[in-house]
Amino acid sequence: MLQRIFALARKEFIQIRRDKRTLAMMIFIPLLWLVLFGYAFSFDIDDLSVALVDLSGTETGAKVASAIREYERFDVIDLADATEAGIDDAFYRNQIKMAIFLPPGFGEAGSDVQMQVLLDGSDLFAAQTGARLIQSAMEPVQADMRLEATERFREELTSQLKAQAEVRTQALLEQVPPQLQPQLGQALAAATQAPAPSIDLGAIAPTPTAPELTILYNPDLKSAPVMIPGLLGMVVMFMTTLMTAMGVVREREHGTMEQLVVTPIRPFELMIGKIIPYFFVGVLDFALVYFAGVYLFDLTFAGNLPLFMGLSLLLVFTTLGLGLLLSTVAQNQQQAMQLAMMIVMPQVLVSGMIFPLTSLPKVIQYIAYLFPFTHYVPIAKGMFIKGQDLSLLWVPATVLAFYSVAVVTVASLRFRKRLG
Amino acid sequence: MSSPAIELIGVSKHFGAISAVSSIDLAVHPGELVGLVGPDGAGKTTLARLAAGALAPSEGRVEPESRGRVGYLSGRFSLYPDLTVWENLHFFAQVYGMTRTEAAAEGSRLLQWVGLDSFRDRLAGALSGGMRQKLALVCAVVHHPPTLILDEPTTAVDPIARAEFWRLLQEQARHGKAVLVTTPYLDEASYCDRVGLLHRGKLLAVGQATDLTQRLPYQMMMLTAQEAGGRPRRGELVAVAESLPGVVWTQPLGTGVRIALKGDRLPDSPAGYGLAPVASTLEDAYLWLSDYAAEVMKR
Amino acid sequence: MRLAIETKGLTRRFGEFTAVDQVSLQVAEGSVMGLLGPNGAGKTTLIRLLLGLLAPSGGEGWVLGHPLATEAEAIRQRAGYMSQRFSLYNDLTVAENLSFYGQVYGLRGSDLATRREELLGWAGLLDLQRSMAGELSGGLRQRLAFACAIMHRPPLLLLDEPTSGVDAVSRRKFWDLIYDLSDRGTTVLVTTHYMDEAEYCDQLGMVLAGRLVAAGTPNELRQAYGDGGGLDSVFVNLATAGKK
Repeated sequence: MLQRIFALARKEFIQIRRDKRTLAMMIFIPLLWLVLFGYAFSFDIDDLSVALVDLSGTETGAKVASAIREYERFDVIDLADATEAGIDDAFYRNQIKMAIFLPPGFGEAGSDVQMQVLLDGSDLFAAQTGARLIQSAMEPVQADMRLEATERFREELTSQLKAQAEVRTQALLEQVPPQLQPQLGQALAAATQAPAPSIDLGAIAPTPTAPELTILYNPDLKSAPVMIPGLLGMVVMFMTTLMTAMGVVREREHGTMEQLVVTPIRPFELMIGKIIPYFFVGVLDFALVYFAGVYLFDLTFAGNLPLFMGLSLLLVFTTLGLGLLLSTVAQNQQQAMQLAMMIVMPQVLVSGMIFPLTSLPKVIQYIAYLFPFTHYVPIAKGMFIKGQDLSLLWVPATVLAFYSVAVVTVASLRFRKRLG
Repeated sequence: MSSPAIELIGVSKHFGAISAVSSIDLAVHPGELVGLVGPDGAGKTTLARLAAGALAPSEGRVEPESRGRVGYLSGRFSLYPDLTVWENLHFFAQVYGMTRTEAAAEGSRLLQWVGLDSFRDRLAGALSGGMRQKLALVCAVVHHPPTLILDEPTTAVDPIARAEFWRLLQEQARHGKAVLVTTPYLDEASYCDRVGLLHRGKLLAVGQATDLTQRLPYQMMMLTAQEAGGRPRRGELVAVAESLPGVVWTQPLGTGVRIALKGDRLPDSPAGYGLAPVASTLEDAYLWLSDYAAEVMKR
Repeated sequence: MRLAIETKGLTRRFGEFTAVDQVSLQVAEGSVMGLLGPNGAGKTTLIRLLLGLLAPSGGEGWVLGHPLATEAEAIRQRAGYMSQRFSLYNDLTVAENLSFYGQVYGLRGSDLATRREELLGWAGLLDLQRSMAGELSGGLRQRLAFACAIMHRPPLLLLDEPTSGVDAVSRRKFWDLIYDLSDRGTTVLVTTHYMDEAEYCDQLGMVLAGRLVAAGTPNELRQAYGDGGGLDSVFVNLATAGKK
């Protein structure tokens, strides 16, 4: 039995080796996706084009404007038409993603005119980036302004206290008999000349309410560390499923399946013999994306690597089963490719790899949980980025294990039936 | 005989260094069914395409210019598998410029003629091999071309369907059409008025099948073992056959060995064996003309 | 005389449709048996039954002494099969194809290598052993497929339409190979719908609509049904009789 399986696997290896186009695909596509998902699908925008219109004419306004200008993530554009209408027009023409408008009256003492920040909602990521960044852009100004406000408050308080002290002193003097007035007056003047006791504003100054922001695990909010773990699974899923399916379908198309059926080869042996080479394909692609990803994007794997590899094997088995299942449905290689696409793409989109599960409508979420890949993503991300272990990930791991057994079982049943 | 509907005069065709056909002289007259027989690679398809005007000769000429007036049926005739029988026929009728009413009338008549009328609404992809060829045939003749050229229309079709198909072709010839058919099956030569034997791009001979067969300069005989039952030991039979005087070639066939013998004097049966004359076939003539003996006796 | 194949009333149904209908067949060891019939007559189903790939709906049969219903594995281990489409791996070399099929049938090591060399020589493919099977011409592919089918020295060889689409000279050479095997004791069963091929067989069986309508030597059939014509007349006559 082993020999027959070996003969089949060996034949399949030779065929894979000779199929230059598929070999290239095996290497080129994962790398292409790696680059796409790692670099191109970045959600951070480095140079946000921002228009700045300062009509305030105040010092505060100028301070804000200068802080904005100096903020390195903003690419400040001075509009030809520095008015509200000009801003609208610039948005319309896609010239800017964000605009900061300091209306007249902003920064004037006692004025409640607020600074306005406008964002282009048609570019989701830019808008979200802008909204997030404005905080840190305003940081230096706000610190200054706080300091200034405190100082002014202190001065104001001091002078008012002084004025009140003088009024009281005067009132007091009038109460005293005229012969004593000059003496009292001198004494009081001497007292008030003495340096005023320092006022501790700490007890009464408003507490800072702007939060100090710390981003854990992926401080630069780069997309690579978030995408690559999931990408590992995606690549394996696509390549293994597709190639396994094509390997079987090709046999059928060329008529050699008919010949195999009449040999002593049993259906089980045929299945295993077909799967083995593609198992190695899956592992190879996994390794390729892992090492390329770690190297190109300077990632570090935080968790237990052997455990991760073991759990990833579960995914490989599932996809092998999927490929077998596909082969019982597809009638030619072209169909196999189409079906593989149809199986992989939706899974990727709803699995939580790119868009968070919770951002999907509830119904879609439930559907997503039916897909095996959806359970691989938290494992990959959790282990890669946070170094989580089984104590946290046992649920998705169990589900994935269940899936791998279930899919392979169903696939082999159908496969056997199809052969007969 | 009237002037030919198609004539190939000294036609040769090269594809680069490869000569597909050379020095072909062939004429097909109206009302005549001519078969071109040869194995794969002999040049049948090339000749068919040259005759139909789908290919230009490297040398010689094809007369007359017959584009549009030829019904051409290639080996891989593309019927549309996802259209019905009727829709296919209608399509080809329209492509050849027939009006709707003409197409409908002719279409019905033709479908009845080939026995496909009750299958009008069946998808062409669901037809059996023989039926598909019949449909292909009617699609090729719907526009009444005076000349019909068919390239291997009966390959991989079972014998009953093949016999029927040839009867249809004979009818077409009787109605005055000039019909040229290529086929790898030598036995189909008997359906034709004249047959051309094609071998490696050359026409070995053209004529009536019976005439060609009679040209064979050898006597065909069959050697059999006289002991009944048991396993015929062919190795032995062949050795005995090859030792006969005047033997040109031997060919084991069934329980005996067929032998081609030269010379006037027929040898006597060797002891323990039976040796009897058998009729020569067109295949024997073909093998003689293509110098088969030289090829085979080399071993 | 020992029988390589024997069936009694062998039947196979697919739902309402009866593909093989009460076929009783006897094929003597070492003979060359031809099964003739049009496409769809049930020849392929019969072969699948004989190879134990399908279970009979009725009747019984034995191939090389093994009952069809219970010892299908043993049959497949000992019988050889060559299909209509010459199931070769186009992207493997001639030698690799032979090795693969040899391994599948249990040959290994030096036994495999020796047998492979032997067949390469026998089929005239020694010089081409490193060529891709896909590059070979029709006649050579046929020979390679044949060699692959006999790597394991099967006592019974089933050939399904082996010479369809092959020219007359190649066909003759192919039959030389078959006769060689037959002389050494191999039983050969050939299915075909090409009448000329029928002439090569010792015994013939005509299959129509799943039934075995006639059996005997080519001569016997010609005399009984030929009406003076050749085997195709036999065929047509039987077929038209069947339709009535």
